[in-house]
Amino acid sequence: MSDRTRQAGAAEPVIELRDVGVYFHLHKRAKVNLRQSLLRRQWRSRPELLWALRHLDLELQEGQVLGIVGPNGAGKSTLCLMLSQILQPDEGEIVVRGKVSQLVSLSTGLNHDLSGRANVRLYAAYLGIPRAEIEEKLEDIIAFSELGEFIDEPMRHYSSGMRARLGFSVASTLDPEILILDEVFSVGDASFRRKSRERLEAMMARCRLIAIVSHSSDFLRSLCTHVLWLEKGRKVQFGEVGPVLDAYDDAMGGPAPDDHLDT
Amino acid sequence: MRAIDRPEGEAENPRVTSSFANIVMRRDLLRELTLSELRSSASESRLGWVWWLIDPLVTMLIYWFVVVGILGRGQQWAPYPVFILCALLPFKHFSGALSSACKLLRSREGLIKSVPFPTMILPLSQVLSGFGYFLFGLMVLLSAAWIWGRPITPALAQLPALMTLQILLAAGVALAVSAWGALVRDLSGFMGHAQRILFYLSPTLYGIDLVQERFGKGALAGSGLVTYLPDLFMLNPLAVLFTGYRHAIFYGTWLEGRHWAWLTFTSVAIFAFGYRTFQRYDRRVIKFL
Repeated sequence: MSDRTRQAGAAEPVIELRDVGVYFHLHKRAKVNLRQSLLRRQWRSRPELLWALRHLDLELQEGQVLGIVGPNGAGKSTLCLMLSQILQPDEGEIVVRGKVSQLVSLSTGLNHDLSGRANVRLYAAYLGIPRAEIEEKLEDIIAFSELGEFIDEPMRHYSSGMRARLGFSVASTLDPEILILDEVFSVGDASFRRKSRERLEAMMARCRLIAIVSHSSDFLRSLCTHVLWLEKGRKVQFGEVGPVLDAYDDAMGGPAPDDHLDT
Repeated sequence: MRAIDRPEGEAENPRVTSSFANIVMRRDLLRELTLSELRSSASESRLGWVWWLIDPLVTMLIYWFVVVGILGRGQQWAPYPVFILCALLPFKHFSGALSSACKLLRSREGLIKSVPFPTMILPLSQVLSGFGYFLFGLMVLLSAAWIWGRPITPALAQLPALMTLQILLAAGVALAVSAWGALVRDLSGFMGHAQRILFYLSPTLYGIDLVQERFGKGALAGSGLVTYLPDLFMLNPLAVLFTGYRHAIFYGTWLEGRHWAWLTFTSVAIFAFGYRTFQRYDRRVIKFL
């Protein structure tokens, strides 16, 4: 973090992006093989750059709930990766002040040969939850996941719903200051969904800042204070939830159906 | 507008970058990953961890059968099973680390893209769990050496140092290869050839004394290069490593000082190279997964 941005005063933004850009090499995203890349080395032209995000300036204050909208390929997920500090920008600067977590449905599981219990420990280790803390919370996590005796079965016998439930049960023990949600988070059957939604809301209530990616305007209207509208990596609009979403819905030809299934 | 490129390897958030400090900070994850790798491979096979003992035993017997039984070679290295296993075990550790590194980052894509952690932990845990198998193999090797009546000598004290350098060597190569493997898709095919070349060019099936005998001073009145071939052979750190294990376990003698120096130098240098290579690509790798 630079001192320059820190001198901003008392109302220091929790997240600050200055002229942020991320690019992908187009030819490198395609299949690259060693023989080709060795042959091509001499006359390799300038790599074709695809800017997933560019010239993005953003300041988010304490207590805001940010919705991120935009068509596919707008750079929403790239932005989430950057906010959760998994990806670093290629140009510009990003400053995040606080412990940040991205809540994703880790439904793939981690090690399918191991039991659910062992996977809880492994997942917790990935998330950086201390060993002692996870041992303490282990029974709670297992109870919340409703897996019962399945918890000691190898994870490869799990259904995708069971994996998602376990993943959520672990991830939701985190206590981040800044929460990133990429796509609407819903796991399991109706009763588990209700339970997880309650837990998510409790988690969100403790957060200083939340960023949510969703295609559902209604969902965002019910939660967000501000909305960022992205298109082809550029900021189209940023502001209070109402006006931005109205403009976005107009541009997209009416609000998207709220079915929580779109990706 | 001109892009302000960030200096390579420099990152905004120190928590997720691959550095020694972060690895030490996330040692819980490193340990958990290493152990769960071992645990899952034990649960994969019906025999569990007993398999880790049977596996080196079987390979040892196969090579014994082929080289001594069929080809009728290896008399100067009797008992050949002990001799071959001294090289096979470290080679297996090394090549296992290499082949798992190729697709490692690619196969953990979902995880890397959703959880912030220093990705260097992935190849390191592979090397460490491979070392776990190695230790089981070492038990087989030491028992075999004892059964065949190899003397227990103070030369065994060389083992800890050899194992440390072996880990450094394997980790260095695994780090570099895992970073390259994320950028280049067909690396594993090339790696197969590289492994085979390494296997036959290192004194695995034969001893360095045979190279000495056939190409060493006085053996051939040839050009200078041929005379120095045994020395060229020993430039390969694996050759020194295997010879070191044979000195410690098979012959009960001490590896020459210059070989120790070279092995230490190359292991540290290769580790440093792998570490730097991985750091260079570190977070940018995500974009290529």
